[in-house]
Amino acid sequence: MTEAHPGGKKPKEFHIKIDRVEYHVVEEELTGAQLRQLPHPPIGPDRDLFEVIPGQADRKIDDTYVVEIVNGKRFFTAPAHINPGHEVADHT
Amino acid sequence: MTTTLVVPDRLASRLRELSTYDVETGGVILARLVRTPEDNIRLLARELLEVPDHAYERREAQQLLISSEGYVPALARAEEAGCVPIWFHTHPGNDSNPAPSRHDLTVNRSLSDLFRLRADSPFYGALITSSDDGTITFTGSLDDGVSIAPIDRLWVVGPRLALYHACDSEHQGVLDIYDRNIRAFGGPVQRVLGDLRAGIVGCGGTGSAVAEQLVRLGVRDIQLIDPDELSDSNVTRVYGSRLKDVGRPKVEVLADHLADILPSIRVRPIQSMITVEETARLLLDADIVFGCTDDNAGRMVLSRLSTYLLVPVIDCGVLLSSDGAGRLDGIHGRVTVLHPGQACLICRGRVDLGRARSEMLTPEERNRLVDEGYAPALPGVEPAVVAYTSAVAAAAVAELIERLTHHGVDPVPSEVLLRLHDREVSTNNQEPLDRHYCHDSSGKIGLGLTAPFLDQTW
Repeated sequence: MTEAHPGGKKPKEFHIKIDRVEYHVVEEELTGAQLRQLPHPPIGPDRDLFEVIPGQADRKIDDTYVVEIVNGKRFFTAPAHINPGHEVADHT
Repeated sequence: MTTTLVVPDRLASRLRELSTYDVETGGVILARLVRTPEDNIRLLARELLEVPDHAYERREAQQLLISSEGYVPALARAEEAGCVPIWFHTHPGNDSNPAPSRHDLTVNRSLSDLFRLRADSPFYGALITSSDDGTITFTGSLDDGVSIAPIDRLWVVGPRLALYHACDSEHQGVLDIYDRNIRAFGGPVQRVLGDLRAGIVGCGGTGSAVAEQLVRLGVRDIQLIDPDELSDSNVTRVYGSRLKDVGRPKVEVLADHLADILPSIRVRPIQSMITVEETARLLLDADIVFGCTDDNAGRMVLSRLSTYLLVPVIDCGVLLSSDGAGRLDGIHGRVTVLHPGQACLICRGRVDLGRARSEMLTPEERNRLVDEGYAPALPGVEPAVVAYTSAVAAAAVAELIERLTHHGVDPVPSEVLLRLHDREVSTNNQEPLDRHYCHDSSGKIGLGLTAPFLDQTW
């Protein structure tokens, strides 16, 4: 997302983290879908994206949800579903 | 390295109940991590955050499908509470196998990084429980992102005690010499006794009798703490002591004696006071501690130890009074069991705070403050008789047996008072005082290591 702005003043840059990795973005708002495109490879549908809200519960970010970007914002991803169990006799 | 998950009985009851359901159940246990001086790990369980009903997309006897909302909220809570998050689920059905399936191992791999990252925890824990006729069976692991170690033991602390080994762990067999014990309370309890790590604080008349009984009962790992050397008047009560031992540290006299009884046991004598922080920290490795000291400051440390570190403490006291003409008119014994949910020794008024403060002073400071009337004088040499110190020691050890075998009354009393002069025994339970550290609302139960240690001035 970080791009050069030819001839113009360098835009304000925001540093955010997704799963420990720091990203630099210039947009003041990003949708969930845009945030998912920041890592390489992008975050797949098998993982949910969450925003860390200090002092509150983590917020799940849907693709269309618009997030206000500020410096230091933290996101993380989690398996969308887990299916633990002893469904088959395959104890290892 | 051994990893022990220490679970207050209320939480353990819930784990046991969930393990008997017909369908699998999941949740996240939050536990404070304590590294012990012997490089073992103790995980002090504080909360169980069960997967809410709406997050189960499929819930059957043999599998679960859980959305991220089922477990992610627990991770922020783990970070806030400074806890290791332990992903927990059941393999239901009696005699079910709590060993992880290949599927479980895949789930663990997919959760490890996330749990450690979001909870800001060095470890990701995983626990699977099943039920075997009302007993918890389990396997568990602790993953630091590089290597995975087993959770070896589950130690349930409360009015009743239970020690479970992981299903996939090996443990020592039981010696034939314990045949009479096994005839009384069975092999499983005998195995637990053999695996317990006991601490004994105070190695005089009561402590030495407790130590000897523990060894003969089958406890194989005992830490002895006492600062004193044996005096000639101690020989009348201290088990294993002889006149020729006078002048030797009590802990060494007793350690030698215990090793003579059973050379295979591990005894660690520490000649120090429990009011020294480094010494108190040595008890981090103990599963159970017997308080056999007669000093108030030491009892305050033990009281806090039981709350902050979930170490059950069986505290003993003996008090003889006479009419001044050499005739006994009161023979009192007390055995108090400290565990989460019960009043500490201060709430019970069993500690004299003024004397405790005096005991922490240097002799010069104490004398000055006593002269000025600002501190109570410490008592001189008090009467003591081997029959009564031994009787109270036996009552204390009997408490341990009762709590492991669960043969007694319900609810289990947390204090036994012996009025031997009247041949009377009474028992009681007592709730912690509001807002005191031993009260649930204080948030101190199972808090683990704090700065300063045990939140007290050393």
